[in-house]
Amino acid sequence: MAYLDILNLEKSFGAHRVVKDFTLPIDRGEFISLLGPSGCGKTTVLRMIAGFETPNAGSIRLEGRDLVPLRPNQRQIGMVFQAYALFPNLTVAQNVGFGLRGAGVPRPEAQTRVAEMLDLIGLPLSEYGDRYPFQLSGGQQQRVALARALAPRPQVLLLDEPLSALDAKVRVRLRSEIREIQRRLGITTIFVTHDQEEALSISDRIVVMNGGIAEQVGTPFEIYNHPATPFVASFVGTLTPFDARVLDPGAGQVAAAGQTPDARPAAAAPGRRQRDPRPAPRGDPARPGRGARDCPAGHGPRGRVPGVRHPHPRRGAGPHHPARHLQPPRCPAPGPGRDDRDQLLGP
Amino acid sequence: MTRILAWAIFLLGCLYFVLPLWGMTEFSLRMRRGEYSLDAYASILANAEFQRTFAFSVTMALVTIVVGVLIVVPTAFWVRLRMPGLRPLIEFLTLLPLVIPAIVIVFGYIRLYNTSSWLPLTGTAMGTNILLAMGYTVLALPYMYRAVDTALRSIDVTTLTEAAQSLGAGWGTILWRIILPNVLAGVLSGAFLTFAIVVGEFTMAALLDRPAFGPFMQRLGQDRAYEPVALAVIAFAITWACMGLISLVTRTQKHLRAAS
Repeated sequence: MAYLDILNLEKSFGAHRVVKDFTLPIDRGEFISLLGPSGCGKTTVLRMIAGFETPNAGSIRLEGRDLVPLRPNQRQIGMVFQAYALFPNLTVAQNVGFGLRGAGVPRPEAQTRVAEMLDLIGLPLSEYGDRYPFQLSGGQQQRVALARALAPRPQVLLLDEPLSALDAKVRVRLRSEIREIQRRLGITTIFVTHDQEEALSISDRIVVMNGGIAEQVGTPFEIYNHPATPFVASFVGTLTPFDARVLDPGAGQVAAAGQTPDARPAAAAPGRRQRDPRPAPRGDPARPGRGARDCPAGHGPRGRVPGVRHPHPRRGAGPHHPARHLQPPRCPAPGPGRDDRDQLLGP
Repeated sequence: MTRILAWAIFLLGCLYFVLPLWGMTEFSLRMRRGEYSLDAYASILANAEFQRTFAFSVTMALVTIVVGVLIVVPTAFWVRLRMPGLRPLIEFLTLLPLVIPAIVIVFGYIRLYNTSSWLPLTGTAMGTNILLAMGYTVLALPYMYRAVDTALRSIDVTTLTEAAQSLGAGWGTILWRIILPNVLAGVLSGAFLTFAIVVGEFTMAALLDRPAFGPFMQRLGQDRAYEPVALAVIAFAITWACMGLISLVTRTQKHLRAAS
């Protein structure tokens, strides 16, 4: 059983089914991104975990305890909002200490914790503690909101598009800071975003959602290089899709745009590689491979064939492997790749 | 030409506003024949009944404000948060006291809560005081609700509530530590309006036979010449002091400056 188990979650608003049979096991300390266009149900999933929406069916279990009947304030789940949502009438220190007061943390300990949290986000108590939210920049406000959510030591941290309201520079910096803090505290985190670059750069695993359905769950590398559905392929990265028919999965032959490849053996064909149907351990640098992935803004669709399912050895829970922290290069340099062996190179 | 006309109209407006006030103040100072004096004010302030009735009305006003805030703030908050569809209905309800005369309300109260009813509030002085406070709360409802609702509009009620909930706060904490401080400016302007209404209210107090300030002013007006006018000047001064306090409090509230 995973640390946070989301099972067959369903949610409808009126006749509109927003979340359809959503299942996701999450390990302790994992950083999960829910990625998808607006209206895909990602925020609704997050709000159901937080307790602001009640699912019509399904369960959310945290260490085996069912969260659904609990009210939001009983769940010990921290949340950061897009609009910061700092309490305008409280100072920075009071904002960060808000959750501690309610939790009955003794005052001296609460003060230490507030100082600790403000240090963590780089806004020292001595300088910023007495300021009001309106005296801070957007990036600073969102940092305070992060510190406020982390101060009561929640079991899970939810981030609801926390970077969307910030300008581009701050967004990139804060994004890596969030990841850094998350790793340092080892807190299980769910991050909702519509920005693929954000999701690809900070997640352990990404859930690509569309129309209330989890289209694909996988590491950023898997999502980017082996999209499982046409939607994932078109939503993540930029590519030119074309219809193709798999002729021989073993030889990696496809017929595209009415053209069939000649019948030479696949192994001998230049530019075409044999697919290895066996899953291999991840992060194995001993296996040679070619950087088959194109730049998103690059020339063509080589390297990613939507609709062709590739065997994925590890979806869902599994041991924590350092390789999963590897961030996917936006444009990988040619060289030893990890997963390239089952790439299909286009004609 | 238009400039001159504008100034002329402005001055005319000023005269319309200032002349009666000036006349009133001037008259209140002429109790002693042939010279200006503060005799009328001294006579009023020394009047034991003035002190009694004024204290009674101020107490009633404070009770009304507390009851009003306790009813209106949670209601307005809840309507904004969970039942936005009910807002027109609630607004209509809160405006009813403006169209239903106080005398109708108080007659209704007397019929409903008389000594032979299921809740004989008029049987004791304290019961009648409670009834009066409730009546005043109804009278002040339109002002209190509007003020609080407008203040609520300026903050993101839903997100702040959710943020507080995710930090473990219950409804009481949310209302007391987050919502109330952020709508304080609205609550205060509602409170001062309530104060002004309650201190001068006549109908309810007279028909429930409570020793309030309104009936005292009315009696004084029948019996004396200078004192009622002095009283009116005092009433104006109190109202202006209240208005000054509203803006003072709004200005000293640090965090509110950002919103405005």
